Amino acid sequence: MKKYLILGLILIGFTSMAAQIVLMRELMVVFYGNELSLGITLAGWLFWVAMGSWGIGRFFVERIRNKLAFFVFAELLLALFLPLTIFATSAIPIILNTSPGEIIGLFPMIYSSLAILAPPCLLLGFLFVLGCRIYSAKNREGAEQIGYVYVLEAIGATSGGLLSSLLLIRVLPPLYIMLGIGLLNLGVVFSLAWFLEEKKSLLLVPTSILILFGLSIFSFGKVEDLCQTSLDLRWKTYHLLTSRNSIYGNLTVTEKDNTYSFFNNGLYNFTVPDEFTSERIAHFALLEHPEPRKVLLIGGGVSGVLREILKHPVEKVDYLELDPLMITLAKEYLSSTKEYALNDERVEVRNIDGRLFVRRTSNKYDLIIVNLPSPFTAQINRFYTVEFFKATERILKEEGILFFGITSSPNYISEEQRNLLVSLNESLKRVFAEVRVIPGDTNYFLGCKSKGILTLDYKRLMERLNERRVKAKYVREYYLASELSDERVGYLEGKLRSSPKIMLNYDFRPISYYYDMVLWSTHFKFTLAKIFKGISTKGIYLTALLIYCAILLPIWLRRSIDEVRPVAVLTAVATTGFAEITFQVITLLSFQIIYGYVYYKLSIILTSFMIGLIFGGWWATKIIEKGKGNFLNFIEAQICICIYPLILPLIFLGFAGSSGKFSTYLGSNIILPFLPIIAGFIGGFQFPLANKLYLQSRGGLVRAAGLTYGLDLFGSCLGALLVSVFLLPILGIPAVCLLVALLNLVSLVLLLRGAGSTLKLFL
Amino acid sequence: MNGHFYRRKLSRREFFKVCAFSSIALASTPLLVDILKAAVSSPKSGEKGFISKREAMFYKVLDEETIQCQLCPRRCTLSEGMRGFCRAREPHGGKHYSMVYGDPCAVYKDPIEKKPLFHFLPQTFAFSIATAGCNLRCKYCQNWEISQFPPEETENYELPPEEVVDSAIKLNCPTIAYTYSEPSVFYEYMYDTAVIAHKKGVKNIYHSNGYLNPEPLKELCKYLDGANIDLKGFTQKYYGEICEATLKPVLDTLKTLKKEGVHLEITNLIVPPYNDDMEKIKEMCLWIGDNLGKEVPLHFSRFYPLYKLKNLSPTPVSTLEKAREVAMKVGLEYVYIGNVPGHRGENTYCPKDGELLIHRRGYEILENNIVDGKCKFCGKPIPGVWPEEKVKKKTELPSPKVSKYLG
Repeated sequence: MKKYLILGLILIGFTSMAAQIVLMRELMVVFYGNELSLGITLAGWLFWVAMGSWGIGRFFVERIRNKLAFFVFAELLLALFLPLTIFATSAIPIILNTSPGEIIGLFPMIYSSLAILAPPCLLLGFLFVLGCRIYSAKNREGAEQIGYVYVLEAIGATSGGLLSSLLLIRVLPPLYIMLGIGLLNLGVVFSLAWFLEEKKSLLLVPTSILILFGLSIFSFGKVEDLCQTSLDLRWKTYHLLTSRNSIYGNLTVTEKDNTYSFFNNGLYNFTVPDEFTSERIAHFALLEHPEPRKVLLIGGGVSGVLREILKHPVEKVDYLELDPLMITLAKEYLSSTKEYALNDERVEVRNIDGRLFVRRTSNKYDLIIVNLPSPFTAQINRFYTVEFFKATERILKEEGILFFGITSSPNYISEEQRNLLVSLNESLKRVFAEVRVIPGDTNYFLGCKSKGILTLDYKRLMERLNERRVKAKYVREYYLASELSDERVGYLEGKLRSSPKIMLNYDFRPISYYYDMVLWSTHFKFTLAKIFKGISTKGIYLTALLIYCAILLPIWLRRSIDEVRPVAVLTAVATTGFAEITFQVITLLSFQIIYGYVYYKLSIILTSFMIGLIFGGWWATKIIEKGKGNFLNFIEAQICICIYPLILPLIFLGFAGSSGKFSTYLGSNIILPFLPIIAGFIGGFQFPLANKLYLQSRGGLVRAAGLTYGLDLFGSCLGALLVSVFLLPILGIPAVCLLVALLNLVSLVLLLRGAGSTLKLFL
Repeated sequence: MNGHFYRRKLSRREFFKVCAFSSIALASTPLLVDILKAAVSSPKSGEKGFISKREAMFYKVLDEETIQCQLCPRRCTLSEGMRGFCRAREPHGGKHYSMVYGDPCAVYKDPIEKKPLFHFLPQTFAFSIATAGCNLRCKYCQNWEISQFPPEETENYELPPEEVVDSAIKLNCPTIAYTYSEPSVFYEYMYDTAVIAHKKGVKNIYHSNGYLNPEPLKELCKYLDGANIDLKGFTQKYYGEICEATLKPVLDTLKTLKKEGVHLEITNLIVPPYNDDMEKIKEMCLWIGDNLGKEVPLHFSRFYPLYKLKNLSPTPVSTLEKAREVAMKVGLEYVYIGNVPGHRGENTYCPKDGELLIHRRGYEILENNIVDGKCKFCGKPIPGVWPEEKVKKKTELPSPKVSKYLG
């Protein structure tokens, strides 16, 4: 039986991670996928797993008589819920009564994601605690049992994460994946059910029915139908041509009256034909340059922008599109439209991250067009920072121009909109000799290396248009006279005046995506939007200080060391959870900033973290098994977790600042991908030890497992919510690391107080 | 101190409770300071929250504390300090006030074709103003940054009615346009400006959702020269789901404007998949023909993903073309497609002899064959407001600075 139980425990980890990856992506398709939605859904996931172990597991597991039966039953439920969550996710807009094409507000997003995530996540948390109980032999209360379960789960999670992120999401629709995971779970349930002493038949009946049901769905191709139903629910009124997943996300193409629209992760991307938009991007950019020969286009070329660019006498256009699926879909659906320009010999398509290309290339360009969405995620924000502007400046010729557009408003610039525009404008000015901004629905930013090149005089632009014999419908005098009128240009320039309150956008303090998030929040009547606006650097520091005091003081004031110790250990577990998720977020982002978005390398980062975790957990468990492992070891680990965040930013800043071949190799292939092993190790090492220490002062294996696992996840939950949404953009990576170090220092201080005479003994 | 309190056994649950509450309480203090700081300041003209109020013209006193606004069909019943649905009106001391009088937040000089008004002094400029607030909640609003906010949250200029008229004259604008957000919510400001403009020979037009009660509308019509009304759809379902409004009052407004002799044009924004059903469009066109006359110009305009409807595709041009065909088949004489330069739907053709009357390109006029309000070729009178002088030259577009008002 033990064999199957081990398999079951690994499978819980596997299920947890694979389902998390799939479901997060699905949720992002339904919600507006900015950092706030990402943070909220991830925090929601962690919150419910924590509740499952801390809230339910801790209280109920000991009361359950036939634990194995319950384990089987819970896993059965989990297998059932997984595919259901996919349906529920696609039904969110219908349940919330959102109109097709309407973005979902902050508040509905919070409660609908919490509702969907609750059943599977509560079960996952509950199963962990239950698994610990069953795994530990009848009369043994050792922490090593929890340690083993923890390690097994982590092994499952690692494989689940790797398999789903690298393979499954590429080849299977989400519903298939969930059904597959569900069936795997059913398999284990079935094997475990044989070992049930009583009520065997009772459980076997639904199990076999479910298995049969699942198998029949698979074999009769009903999954296709189910997937289609789920898609029809979402794209109700569009003529849906295709919806496909790549490792980078979901791409959907719809058609209506010979007009093709592309949606990226559920967000409207572009339409073909849409000359209004593509002309403005291409011609505004190219007409500003007296002689554009070599052009670099980052993103969105298939929308018709490429075709408009090629109307000018250019020699070469390098077109970067990260996701090859975009090119595949363009070839499939757009090749018959007149906007299709991929066959032109002047065009070279490269499936590479823009940051990576700009860093590597030795080409020189007259013009760089960044045709990406406004900075609504940390990932996209990389294309709007001072450092990126500097990198583009390096590959621009003497009179070269950088060009990008930000969604804005023609008649009135609100305060929130202005914060975003000014932060970008000032960042651009930091690098380029001359900067101009074109007013309109979208504000097009122009940065030029030389002065006297840029102009907002439409007559000048029209002269060039005529000289080059470019045919255009929208970028023409009959619109521009009004659009670029003195008062409209003057109004925007007035609004763009710099203000000391508005910060510049740097790689390691990516404030612009925060401004974009605040702007997004003003779409909804929700008081939280006002709170977002009010948050300042000083406010955060003061708040952090007060929180530290709030944790420290009540415990510090306790007299008895026996009382302090378990609380100190638990606090340390929570702060470690917070730190670990922060390390992951920061390492992933830093890698993308320094070396570009390379999907498999980001997977390596997450995997090394998990491997570190497994190794750390296993080591600590082995030590405990030998009867060793004490409070001092725990304190040592805590010291490490205080030091690690202090070193982390130094490493990032160091590699970001050096561009030598060796250091690039070292950074991108060795240090950054494998550094997380250390972070994972510390966290993994602390967990079983925390259980041992807790068990020493307070008994109850289930209570210990539920508490530590729950608190670890609560810490992560808070981290998921706070770090990428507020702390990172407002404070920047170095300051966030410092904050995390200080938070863990608070735990360390508590631990030292808890150590009391023990510490003296060892010293 | 006997230390008893500290020695008291604090259960874990209590501990976490204490931690949670104290951290929440403490954490919120500095944030509150930030927010309060942002709230307490005295705004000046051109700054956020600069507002002045003026007693409203249309309201009923219900009792000492409550009034009922009579401006639009919502007829909000409000008590002291409550803000109306439009976010721009509020009672004080038993009187109702407009909170946006003389404080526009958007001031521009726009080509009249942009409004769009195609039968109204072609190729001239309209001095255009708007304030915060709106009595509808359209999910695709183009000006949501002003229409969906109260005046306290927008940056407003001080521009009293006299100055609006003076500026229009100074800037060579024969017309003042009340536009962008919803002019009905700044009714008093619009009305007073219109009265002065009327005296000084400046024309008044407004682009409105038509969601206004007949009494205020009739009063306004005395000074109104032209109107473009958004007939957003032709089903109650659409008005309810997308705009939080009702259709009937809008139809009543259209009829009233026609009856009062105000030059009327209609805009229909086609937002697939909501209101692109050609049957419904046909029904709408029939209604327009029967109730307002076939000579009322109708503009079909293109939707772009905006505000809350960000995840829809823009309207295909062919959908607009289909709608135009439907409307012309029904017999409407002047049907336009907005913002597709070079398209036939931009031009005005004589319904009698089919000659090209006004050849438009964007906001420019390439050719104008309307003389004295009639077709140059067959003499058919073309509805609209046309220049009085016979000879007009195609002039360079002048754009003097109005930066005085634009900060």
